[in-house]
Amino acid sequence: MVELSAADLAARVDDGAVAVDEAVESGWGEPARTWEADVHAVVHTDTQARSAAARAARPGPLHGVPVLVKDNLCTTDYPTTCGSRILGGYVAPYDATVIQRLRAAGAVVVGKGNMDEFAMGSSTEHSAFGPTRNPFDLERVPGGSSGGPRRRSRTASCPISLGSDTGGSVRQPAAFCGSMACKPTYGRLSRYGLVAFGSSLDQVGVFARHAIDLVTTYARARGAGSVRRDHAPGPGARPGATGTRACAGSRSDGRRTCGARVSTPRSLRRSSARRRPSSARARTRVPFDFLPSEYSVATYYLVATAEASSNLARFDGVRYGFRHRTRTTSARCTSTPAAPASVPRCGVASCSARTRSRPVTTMPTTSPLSARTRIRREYETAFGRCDVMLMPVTPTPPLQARREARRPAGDVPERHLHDRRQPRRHSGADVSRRAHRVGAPDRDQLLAPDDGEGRLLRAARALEVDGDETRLDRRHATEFAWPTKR
Amino acid sequence: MAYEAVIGLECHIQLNTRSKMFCGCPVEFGSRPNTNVCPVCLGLPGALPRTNAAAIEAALRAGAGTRLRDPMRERVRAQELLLSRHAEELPDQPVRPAAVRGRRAAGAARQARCARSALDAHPRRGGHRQVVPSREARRPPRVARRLQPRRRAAARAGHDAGAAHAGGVRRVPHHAATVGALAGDLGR
Repeated sequence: MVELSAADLAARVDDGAVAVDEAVESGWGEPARTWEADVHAVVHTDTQARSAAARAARPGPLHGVPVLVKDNLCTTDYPTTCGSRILGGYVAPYDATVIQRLRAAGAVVVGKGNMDEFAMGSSTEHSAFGPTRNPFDLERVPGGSSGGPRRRSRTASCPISLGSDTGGSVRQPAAFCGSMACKPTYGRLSRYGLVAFGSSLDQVGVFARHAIDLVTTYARARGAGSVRRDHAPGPGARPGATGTRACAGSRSDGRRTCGARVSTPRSLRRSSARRRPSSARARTRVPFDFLPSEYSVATYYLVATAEASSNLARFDGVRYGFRHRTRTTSARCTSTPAAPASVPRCGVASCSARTRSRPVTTMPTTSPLSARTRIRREYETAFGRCDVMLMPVTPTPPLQARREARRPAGDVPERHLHDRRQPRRHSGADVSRRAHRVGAPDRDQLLAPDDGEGRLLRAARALEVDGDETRLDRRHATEFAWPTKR
Repeated sequence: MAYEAVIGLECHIQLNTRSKMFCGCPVEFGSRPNTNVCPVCLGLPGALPRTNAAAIEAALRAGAGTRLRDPMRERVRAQELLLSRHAEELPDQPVRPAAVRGRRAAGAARQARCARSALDAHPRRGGHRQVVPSREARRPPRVARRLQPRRRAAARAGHDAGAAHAGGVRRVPHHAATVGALAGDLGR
């Protein structure tokens, strides 16, 4: 049962072949329990809450499908702690909009997944509840910050899970743990109920083992909840535009059903080609030059930390927060004993305080925002020449566990590739490719323009390799990659 | 040496919206405790504020009522900053005034100048909007240089703050009331 897609599982639950309880508990017996002990992907779960949620499950396209949720999405039945002791024991009195939507579709929330403290990190090592390990290699990190949901969705129990992406926190763990993920355009999934990190960058993302589950989950999660107008509907919100049928495509003939020009920028192709056989490189024949702005990473870190400083200001020890006697003010306000270095390491205290201390008459983040607009235009130009970009997710395989903590700059090189396109804020989604094999990392992502989720998910569905749902077939991609202009 | 006292007065007006500034909770008085609250106005983690469009409208009306300069142009800016997705999610960003630099005749000989009409509500506690010592405060010569034109302008205007308060600024709420932006109690 743990290998079924969400749609198949829901169909069996609807037929009565599988009880909801059975579906929900399938991932909590052996061997999942042993995996969980090794990997530590889940921070909050509870048998009683699971069975109560299973009893309350409504019929729908995700009937009885267990969903693991990142710890920064508010749910009423589990604590929402953001991987931090600052919010220890906090149980939200409301469900995040995406949770409401998925519950309405019949899904059952089975627990909260581990994450870097307040999503600041890319290894899921900096959680107050302990690090999560990569399910394929316990000595390596699973990526992050949505490492918990990702790990769990890959190995057992949850065909789909929800994470959040600020600077690659969905895409990178999906790549490291070998499954699919979709990070939609900013605003297309409601962020109401998502504890904010960088408000103009945060976006809820979906993990799944199969592309079709990404389609189903995305189509069901989007839209408004009980709080009106808390999401940006966008042009893709027309009925059916990104519905299951529109996104589904077919795996049999990638070229015809995908209908998209998929291309790999030459600048990024070289970095991935080093790891790939020469035959694959030879097939990549699209003359497509695109080098994202060199300011992308700097822009991302300025914007994200400035916004994080604003968002985390409330966790100052007055109403929420952990007070420490000996540390500096910034450390006292934002970090916890279990993960003392994570939040200051991200530069919130120094960088963003400087950014925000200018006179209020000037927009404090003018330069980064200008750079962001420029980066955005670069991507718009690039997408004039192709429909979907195919590129590596990260430049390296997963780091050895604990290595990152020894490097002051930590994850900066690791985040390089996804951050390059992140600051434009309206990132398309991406789909990562199969599990890493150390020494020969093999993970790609698709990148579509704003509101291109339908196109993107169709391409992912078309490129999904039969027999290994978490792989994309680059050969198919290069066959129909063709520029519009010479 | 002759001194000229320049005194700024901040005049608060209660707007006549039916819901709160950043959420849809009603602003009725007399409800049972803990009824007119939601995750947004409680400032719970994860809740997103949404700016009350009626409040912006009211601020612009107040601006128009006090003859603030070019309220329609300022309205565009206000919408950019207050109604855009970006702004609503960044409540800590500086908010530009809804209208600026108007004046209202306070009598035959005096004028009360109104510097700005700004919405002043915040979904969060304000502890982190601390005043940062500016460069001017640390460098007195620059202070004088920066303030000089303003003093001259004030001298040209030829009004005194006490008279302005007595005759003009106190009437701003009345002007606002006449354009339908004010909630009942002028004494608050």
